[in-house]
Amino acid sequence: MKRIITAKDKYAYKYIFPALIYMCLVLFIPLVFSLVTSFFKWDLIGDITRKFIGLKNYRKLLTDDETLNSFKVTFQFLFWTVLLEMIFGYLIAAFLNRKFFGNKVVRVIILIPMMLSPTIVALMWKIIFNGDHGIANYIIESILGPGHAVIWFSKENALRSVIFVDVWLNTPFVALMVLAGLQGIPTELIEAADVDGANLFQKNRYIIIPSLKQVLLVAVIFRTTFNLRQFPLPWIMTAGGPANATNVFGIELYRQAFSFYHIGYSSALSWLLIIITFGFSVLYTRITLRGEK
Amino acid sequence: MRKILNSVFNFVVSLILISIVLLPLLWMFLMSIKTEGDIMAWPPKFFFKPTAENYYNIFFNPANSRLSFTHVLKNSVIITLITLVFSLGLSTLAAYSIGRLKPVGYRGLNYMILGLRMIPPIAIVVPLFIIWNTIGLYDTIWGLIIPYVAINIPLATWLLEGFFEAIPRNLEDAAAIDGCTGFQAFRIIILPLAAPGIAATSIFSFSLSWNNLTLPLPLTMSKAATLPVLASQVRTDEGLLWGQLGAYSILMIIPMIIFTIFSSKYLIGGISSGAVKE
Amino acid sequence: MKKLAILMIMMLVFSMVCFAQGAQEAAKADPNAPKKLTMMFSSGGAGKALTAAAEKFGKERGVEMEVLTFPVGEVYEKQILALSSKQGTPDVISVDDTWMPVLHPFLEPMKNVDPTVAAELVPAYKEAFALKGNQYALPVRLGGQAIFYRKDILEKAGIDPSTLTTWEAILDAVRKVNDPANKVYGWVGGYSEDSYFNTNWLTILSGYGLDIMNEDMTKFNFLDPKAIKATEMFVELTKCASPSILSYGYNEQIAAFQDGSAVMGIVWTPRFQAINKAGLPHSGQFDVLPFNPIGEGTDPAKAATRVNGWGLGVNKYTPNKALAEEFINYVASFDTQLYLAIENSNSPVVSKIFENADFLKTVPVAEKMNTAIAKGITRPMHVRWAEMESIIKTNLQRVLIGEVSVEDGLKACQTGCEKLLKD
Repeated sequence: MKRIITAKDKYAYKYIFPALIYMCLVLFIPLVFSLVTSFFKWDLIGDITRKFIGLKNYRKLLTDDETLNSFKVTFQFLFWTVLLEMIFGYLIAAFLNRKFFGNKVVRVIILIPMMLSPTIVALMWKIIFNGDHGIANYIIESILGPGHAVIWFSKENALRSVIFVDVWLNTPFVALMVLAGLQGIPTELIEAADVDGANLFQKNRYIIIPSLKQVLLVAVIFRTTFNLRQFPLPWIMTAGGPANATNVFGIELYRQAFSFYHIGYSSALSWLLIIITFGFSVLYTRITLRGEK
Repeated sequence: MRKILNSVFNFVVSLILISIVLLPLLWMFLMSIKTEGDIMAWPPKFFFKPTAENYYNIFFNPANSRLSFTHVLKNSVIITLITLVFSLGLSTLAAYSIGRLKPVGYRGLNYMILGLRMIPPIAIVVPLFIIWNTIGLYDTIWGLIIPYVAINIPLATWLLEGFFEAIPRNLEDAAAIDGCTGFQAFRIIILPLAAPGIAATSIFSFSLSWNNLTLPLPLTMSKAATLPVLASQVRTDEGLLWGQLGAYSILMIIPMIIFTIFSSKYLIGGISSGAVKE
Repeated sequence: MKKLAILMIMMLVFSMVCFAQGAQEAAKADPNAPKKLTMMFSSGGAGKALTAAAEKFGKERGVEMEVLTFPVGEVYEKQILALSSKQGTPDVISVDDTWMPVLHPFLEPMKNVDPTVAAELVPAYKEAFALKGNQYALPVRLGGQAIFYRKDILEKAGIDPSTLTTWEAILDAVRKVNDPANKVYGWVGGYSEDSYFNTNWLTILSGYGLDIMNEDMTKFNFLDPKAIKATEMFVELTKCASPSILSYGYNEQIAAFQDGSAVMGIVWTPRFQAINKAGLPHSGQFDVLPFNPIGEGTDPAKAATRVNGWGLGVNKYTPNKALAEEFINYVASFDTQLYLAIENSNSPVVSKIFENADFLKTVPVAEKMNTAIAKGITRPMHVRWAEMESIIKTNLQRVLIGEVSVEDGLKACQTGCEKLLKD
């Protein structure tokens, strides 16, 4: 491992510094602010005196029932959405990489969900999934007969419905990344494999997926980071209910910050989220780069 | 025979994908051209007399005279485009370095950039509000651009790294032999090859800035309000304005589609084989 | 080269910042700057009414008025952010009745309440915005929780609305008209948002003559037998609602009335016009019970319904305090309230308006609504009410889906809220 900084390194740093300096300038103060306030009791309303209380905020959030429940719900949500998005995204990208008439049109159309505001998407699906007068149940009952209407936001189904909408909204992102990555694989590699008589499965396993490792890693980290703090979808569709069935961490954070205005406590929640997100990223990176030089 | 099966497969899958994406949006579009009576009709009406009143109301009957649609649209476009230019500019450079040049300690820098993004936007709202009010950036366009760029850089950098890394290794060396400086090699050879990645990233970045609601809500009042803020007004005391909601969804997506078509030109095409002779 | 470009950009940004800063200073310093009042209000009827009043005021007094409307939650957020950082804008603060305990430290007690205005306001409404002897805001748009119903459906079922004076009678009627097979449900409400869920439950609770907290806000009454009875009634009524009711917010409640899938429910009175609007499938078929239902066996003197709505107060930090007070008096006066009630379907706060012939022509049910909420009390005024709402909703939703019994649910509310007070 080289420790000496060569001229080449200095040259490389010149490219990084603008971005780094900008971000540090802008985000440094808010970051420190939130870290410091997480050790205080500070509310914007009610008793607005600030009191230093050390780790009490952190201790509270690790023992509060609703917060613990929100961990459980969040991890369930995270697991299913990331898994489904990665699988579907990969398959869709592989499909879009084929040559066929109208390919370009489908590519643009498939990107549309990604371009929508999550708030609007949540409202849209809430309308479509309305238990009594939603178009989805109308179609289902027209086909299967009355009595088959699905209660999309019942206690059992609420989380599934939210997961469905998140997958609808975000799979295009994964597909986009993978597609761009697939475009970057030199065609000679594929041709060489064809000449050697490799079948589809082997081609995927030994050539395509390894070349896509970096892209897949980035996609997984991104989806995890965003879904750990997912807020608008469950908030608008179910307000965290029924009975906290969809009360993800993002909702807890929003409630503490902007419903109850406990700034100190919500800063602690934010930092917990940062730590968890970071943990996941390190984990993913280790797994992916295991075996690399 | 195989060819026909292939074509049918392609067609069917394409149809399924397009339906999953477009049918819900079609329902929203239909809602945007229905009168309120038609929206509330049961069984749902598929054939009805369309009306332009929802769109008309958005353009000509704004709830606030200071938040007219054109004013807010202008804000959104300016903020998003400027953010895109700045964040892509800074990120492309950083991603090139971390992805290809890989100086000593690049892993640490990488994690630092990513780590700065893991802070949820909610956590920076309160400090940003206080600071912006002190230095006079509250309710200004730059007051939004500055945090937007800061939020976008880590994402764009991370996304672009992968694409830069995937470009075949020895292109810079080949360029150096031909007499290019480092930066020239970057600009003339590497950058065009990373075009698909940059296009993909720009779509994502555009979408994030265009649809962001967490930051504009507390940081603007009327002068710098963006489209998502305006659209949130459909939630009124007397109920949701369903028709207007449909109209806003359609209106907000059109600029994004335009931008996507524009940048997807670069998404097509793979790396030209022949750049490197093995 | 790159560095130079970046440096230039940074200088550009810095100079723009200074410019913005400078511009703001200039505006503050100029004493001859035209007077301006800024305020925010909730989108919809309230916003339209207030904007109309503000424009009139501005024209008459030559003052620039900036009225912005946003959904309720956002109004709250923006105001709290501004007030806690001691901003002078908005000059006029919108106050929902439950925000009083939270906002009053930031409001300037009103010193110049116009005595004619004060005399004409409905006393209970005026009380809602007074604390410790100070009047912090004047009411401008208030209503209460009344029972809305579909005339035609009750008639067809042979039910006479005037007999529905008790919650038990209402429950029987709701069960009778409940028709799930045709997607017409006897009962509806807003059950997903904290505040609407609680308002529903609180209305039934006060029908049984009970409030959540005792007089000096130190103890909770969740385990009182009346609370148990009221909650059981709440559960039974909810059984006659759509199976998706727990995901219905107030928007879905209104839509359910409008599209005909609901027969009866507890609704905030200003929403009547929206539900009964011309052009909708069931326009003209709605009516209001002109009294507040009581729990069987409850002393009517002790039973009540809930009133809630909006008031306007003066920001403690604004330089335009006198002008703001003038405006607030203006909006709460008889003339403006009448104008707003007729032109903008505002829900008036002046009692005489309910006898005004023009008003009654535009809103025929106004009299019924007025008597329905005549015995109304505000919701609990505690600084941490928002958190209590969250606790109550979470636990009572568990009761509604059958996860826990009524007693256990109420016990959990009691423990949760007591813990909150000790915090």
